[in-house]
Amino acid sequence: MLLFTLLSSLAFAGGDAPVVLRAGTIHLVEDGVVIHDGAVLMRDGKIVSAGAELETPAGATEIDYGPDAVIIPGIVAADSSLGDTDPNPRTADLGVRAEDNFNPFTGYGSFSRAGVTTAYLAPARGRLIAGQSAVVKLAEKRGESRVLQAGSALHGAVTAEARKTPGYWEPPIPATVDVGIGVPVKQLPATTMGAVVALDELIAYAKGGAGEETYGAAVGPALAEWIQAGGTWRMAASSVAEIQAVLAFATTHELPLVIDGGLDSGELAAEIAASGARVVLTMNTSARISDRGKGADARWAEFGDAVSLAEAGVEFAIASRSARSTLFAAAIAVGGGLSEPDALRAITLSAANILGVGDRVGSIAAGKEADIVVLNGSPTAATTSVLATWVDGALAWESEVDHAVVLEVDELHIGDGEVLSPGQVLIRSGKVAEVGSVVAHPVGCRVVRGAAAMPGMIDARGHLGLEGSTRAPSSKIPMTRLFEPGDATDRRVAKAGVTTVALTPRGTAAISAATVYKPAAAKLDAMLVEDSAVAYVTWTSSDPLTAGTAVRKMLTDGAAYKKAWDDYAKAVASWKPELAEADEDEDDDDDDDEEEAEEEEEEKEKKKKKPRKPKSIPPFSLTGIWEGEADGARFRLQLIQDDEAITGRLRCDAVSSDVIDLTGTRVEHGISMSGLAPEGEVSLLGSTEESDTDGIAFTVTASVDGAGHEAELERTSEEYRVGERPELRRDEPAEGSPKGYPKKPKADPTKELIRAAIEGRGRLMVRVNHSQEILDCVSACNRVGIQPVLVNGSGASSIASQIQGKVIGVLLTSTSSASALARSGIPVAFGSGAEEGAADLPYFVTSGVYSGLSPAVAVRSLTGDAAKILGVEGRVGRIAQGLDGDILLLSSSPLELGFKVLRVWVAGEEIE
Amino acid sequence: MIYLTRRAQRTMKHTSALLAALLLLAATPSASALDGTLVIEAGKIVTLTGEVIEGGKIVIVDGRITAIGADVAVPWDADHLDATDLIAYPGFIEAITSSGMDRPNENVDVAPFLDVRDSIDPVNVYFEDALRSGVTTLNIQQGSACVVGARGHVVKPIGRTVEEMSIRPRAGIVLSATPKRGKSRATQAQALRGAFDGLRRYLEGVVADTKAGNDYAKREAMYQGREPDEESSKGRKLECSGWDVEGLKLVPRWELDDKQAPLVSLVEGRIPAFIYCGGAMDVRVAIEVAEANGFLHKTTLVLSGDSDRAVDLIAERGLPVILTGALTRSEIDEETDELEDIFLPEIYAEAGVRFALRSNNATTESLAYQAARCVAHGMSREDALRAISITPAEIIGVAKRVGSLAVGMDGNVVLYTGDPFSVDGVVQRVIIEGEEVYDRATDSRVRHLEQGEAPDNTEPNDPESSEDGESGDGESGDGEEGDGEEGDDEKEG
Repeated sequence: MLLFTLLSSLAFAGGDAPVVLRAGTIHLVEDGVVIHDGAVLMRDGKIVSAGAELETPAGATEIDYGPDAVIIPGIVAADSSLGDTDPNPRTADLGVRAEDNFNPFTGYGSFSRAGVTTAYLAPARGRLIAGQSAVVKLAEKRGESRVLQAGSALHGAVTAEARKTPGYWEPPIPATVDVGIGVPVKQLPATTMGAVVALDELIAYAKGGAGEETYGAAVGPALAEWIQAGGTWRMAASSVAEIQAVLAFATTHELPLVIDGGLDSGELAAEIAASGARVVLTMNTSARISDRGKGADARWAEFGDAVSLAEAGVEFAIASRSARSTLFAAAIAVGGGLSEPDALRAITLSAANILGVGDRVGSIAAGKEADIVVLNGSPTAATTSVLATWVDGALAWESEVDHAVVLEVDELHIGDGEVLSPGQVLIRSGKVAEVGSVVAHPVGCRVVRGAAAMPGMIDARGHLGLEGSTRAPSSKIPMTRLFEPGDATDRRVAKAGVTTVALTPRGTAAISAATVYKPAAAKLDAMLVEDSAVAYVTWTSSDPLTAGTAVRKMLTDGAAYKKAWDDYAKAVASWKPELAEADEDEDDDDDDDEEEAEEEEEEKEKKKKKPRKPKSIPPFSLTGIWEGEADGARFRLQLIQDDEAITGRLRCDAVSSDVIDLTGTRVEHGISMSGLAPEGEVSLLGSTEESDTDGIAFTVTASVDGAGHEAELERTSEEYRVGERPELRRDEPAEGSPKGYPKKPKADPTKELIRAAIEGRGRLMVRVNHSQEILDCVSACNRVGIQPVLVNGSGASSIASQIQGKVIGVLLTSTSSASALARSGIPVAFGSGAEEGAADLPYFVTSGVYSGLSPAVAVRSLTGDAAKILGVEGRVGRIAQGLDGDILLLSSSPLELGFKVLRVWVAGEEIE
Repeated sequence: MIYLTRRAQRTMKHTSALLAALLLLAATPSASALDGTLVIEAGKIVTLTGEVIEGGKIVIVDGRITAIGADVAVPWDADHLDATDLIAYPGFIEAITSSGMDRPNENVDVAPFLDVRDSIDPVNVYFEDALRSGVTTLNIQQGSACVVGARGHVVKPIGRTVEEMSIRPRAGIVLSATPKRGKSRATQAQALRGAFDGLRRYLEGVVADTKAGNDYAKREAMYQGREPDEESSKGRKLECSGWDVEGLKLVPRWELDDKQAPLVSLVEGRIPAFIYCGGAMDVRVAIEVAEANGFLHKTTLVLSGDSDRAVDLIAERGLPVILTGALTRSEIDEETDELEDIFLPEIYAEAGVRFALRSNNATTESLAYQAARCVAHGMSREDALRAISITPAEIIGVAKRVGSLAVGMDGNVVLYTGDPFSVDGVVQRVIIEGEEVYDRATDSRVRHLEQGEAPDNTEPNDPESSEDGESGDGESGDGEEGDGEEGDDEKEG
């Protein structure tokens, strides 16, 4: 963390203070030298020295990018589209200068991000001689000094792009009857041959011959000056014929030539070498695919040009018109067979030499400008990207610190016994994003290489975090409240490899709950794995007769408790509001009886007077969900009718923005309810009428603040609500539950733990002693449907076959019986039973390996099996997609004795 | 007076031009009457020479201020102008504008042989608007769509002919570093450099001809009808600090082509240069070209876009600038990613660059409005006023005549009803060279606007009557002028 804080502050400090950059590999490029575990010292924007034995001078800022980072010189893009604009109408014009099109008052961050620090600007394209090119530095707002070299080359082309030159026309001043406005004069070239003719004419003109008429007054003298000064001619030529043409031209007139584009230059490598010309080889780095023609002479992509040029000893640069893809262009060339040192040279020093700035940039050498690019891998690998770019000794760009980490190891232990060799894992946003032999490398990701990696280890029973307390915290206090993001001790334990602890209270409580957490996690959110994941009970007793009595009772109680809740859930699910008619069949309480009596009387009356008259309390219940529309808004009324009393909730945007709770009474032919909304008091009056054909016609008027909203409602459900999932620690059933609604059982946190174990949501750990106890315990547990985890089951190994499949696993505090259990396929986990002593867990297991335990079992018992035993296998214990990014980088395979934990990530963040 | 339709204008041009001109003569107050004495008694006089005079008098004799102060002797025959409820300011100065012209731009890239005087339209309503906003001096120059433009003209907004309006003819030349249509930055820069390379080649050619005994230049000069006077019949060395043409002393100056003569004056530093810069990149080119051709000391940059990024370059050379446009620029802060408005005059003031303001348009965003925006952003009133009076006067080289109120200066006074930087301060009266040329009380257009009264002698929206060709109160050419201005703004922005 500190390192990167320093980095950010440097970005603003500029390049005045000396800076030392360290990395595992440093390519100086000069003479192909590669330094391992070396450093580069920069001061005042210049490189002072580079080497393996470099010591950081006093007052210098040192930044270590780690052993996996690779330092190369700033990339020199030998071509770019930065300067390009429309060309001048003339076929040849030296007056157009590329630097005029370059804006030195803005940043070029995307180029720094791609590691490109220096770039070539073409003045324009599409002319025989388009103008003078320039070389610029891209990062840092240096104003005009960013132009490294104006007039770096004369930029022209004999390719097809130059053959679209339009006719030249100049308006006469003044245009009169005597002076016509004229017509455009055709300009060369229209063919390769025309280009050669025009070039020869231009040379003749420059040497004092004719040409002013054809080419304009300015170009002749300017060319003469250019030739006199020995300026470079950079001519685009991209076929054998074109390259031959420019070679012949340059040789005849003894001009320094750079062939631009250079497709097929490989075929003429020997001729090019002989003439002393140099080549800027343009790679197609665009992802676009196009047809290339089916004829015999159609050009098919070949990447062999670079190899041929390198073999012939031609100095060449690899470039892309899209300068940001220069590194990728080099990778393509390597794909075509070029060696990595040659490819790296072609995008740094050779490019700088060809652009005429090889004395200032292009390699890491004393006195050169301090342009440094830090990569996360080999310069020409496809998965490599830029970590940081330094220009003139100042940081120009760096990738975000927590962006993504890729571990590349020879052995990747997944945690469930599987090993990927080699293996890679991508950690992103705290989670494992991808696992495989090769994974995605997001741009700018940190890459860490090593021998082996495995998931963070799990202490299946520890006390780290209790700070010596022997008291079990009250079960009413959530253990998570005790959490505090990793202190120094927690981090030391994590650095030893133990990243997850099942925090178990000490104490002697009959039953206690253990919480699985990550002590060293940097953020509170990332700490908790599972609250109250494990119930811990003791079967063993000092009196053998009473052994297991308490646990058995707990199990019975727990099972009963579970049944009570299951019954409740069932009852809730099947509960239907009692209809008045249904009341007749039941003997409830006295009130009902009276009502029934009344009803009966009324019915008798009814029969006398009218064939069908609504009773004072109508026979039908309004309980249910009613829906309709009021003033264009949805009107939703939930009602529970309990005899005359009626409660409900109203949701209607036209009435109130909030859900309104209503209470009231069922009156004749309707309801009368009232409630309180944020807008004011709400009254709801409704009238009902039951008809045989249409069911119940229910019309209500909701009034708030005097404004009424009428709605015709239709019943969409007869249930008020579906069965509610019982919640822990809600002792009292909700007030105002309707009559006859199932009664909620009393919640009990202790019994809840057993219930969770029965339902498989939690684990039950039972401390047992000898084999008889184990058998008793297992059968008792199995009877209620629990597969227990045995603790301290030293006798378990002898009866392993008997308990196989009946227990989830065994938690051990010694390694002696582990092998036997493992042979029977019973997972084992180890608990330290200590606080910071958990750090010794790996050594403890190693000693088990020394005494015969299978190393593979040992690794599993600390990772995947431990997670399974604790019931947290969905979060930790393995390196798998979607699981937490808890990973250990090891010095050697964990299956070998004497491995060391080198680096540790918890929830994707490295523990420093 | 009649608001003419375009069609009517065309008709009028053919049939009634003479009649219109005659009517105009009768309608416009005489601007040539410089003789006479005027005493302005103002409630307050802001002289901009240092002091503010409470309740003072300005005595203007024959167009020039002869006395100014709280207690000055008043000639017995003076006309009195009672402005005791008004505040007197020096007339404001438009540092550069392309308005008031028939066409602000020309197609030809390099056209220093043109002169805006041929394009100035004295009856353009723009000048009336300028007067109404208190502008008494205008530097009219070609628009920015050029490489090397025409020579400019400093005028006052009154008069029926350019001669009457003129304060200083051939007042500088415009160049543009901003790409004109069809050019890229590089080709614009190339054309700009090429103009001077061309001049050099031309001069070398003339010298070579003369040395060879050929008199092509002389014959051409005679053919064009030029005649030598005493000064121009002599040859002179090229007084350019950037480069030299050996042997130019051999060539009498009158023989030099008219087309090239203005550029010769420019490189010899005899006329000021105004270089349009649409952004920081252009500033770089402008300075390079001016430096290479020896007229940097006579250069003023006319800035728009993100030119403020190059403020250090400008400050280093001590160049004065004219700020155009809306005076603000939005930029995304690199650290906070928030869009922030940058107030440009502040940046130039901080860097110590001398700047003049320019109207963003002739009416609602006139000079006083632009200056008021500076005051709103914390600039002192004095400094804001200087940016529309003394500084532009210095930039266009007329600071000895206008820009402040002092003895010996032109009698150009703007009488405000209140604070010119507030909405309730309006121009009540304008005096140019001792002549009252504007009175809001009789401004028929203002009356039309404020009280709904149609201007005198007009029947609005009655195209029939315009066929009569009766009068044209400066409305003719408005459409074209508007078009031109639009194109101009587009270029500069």
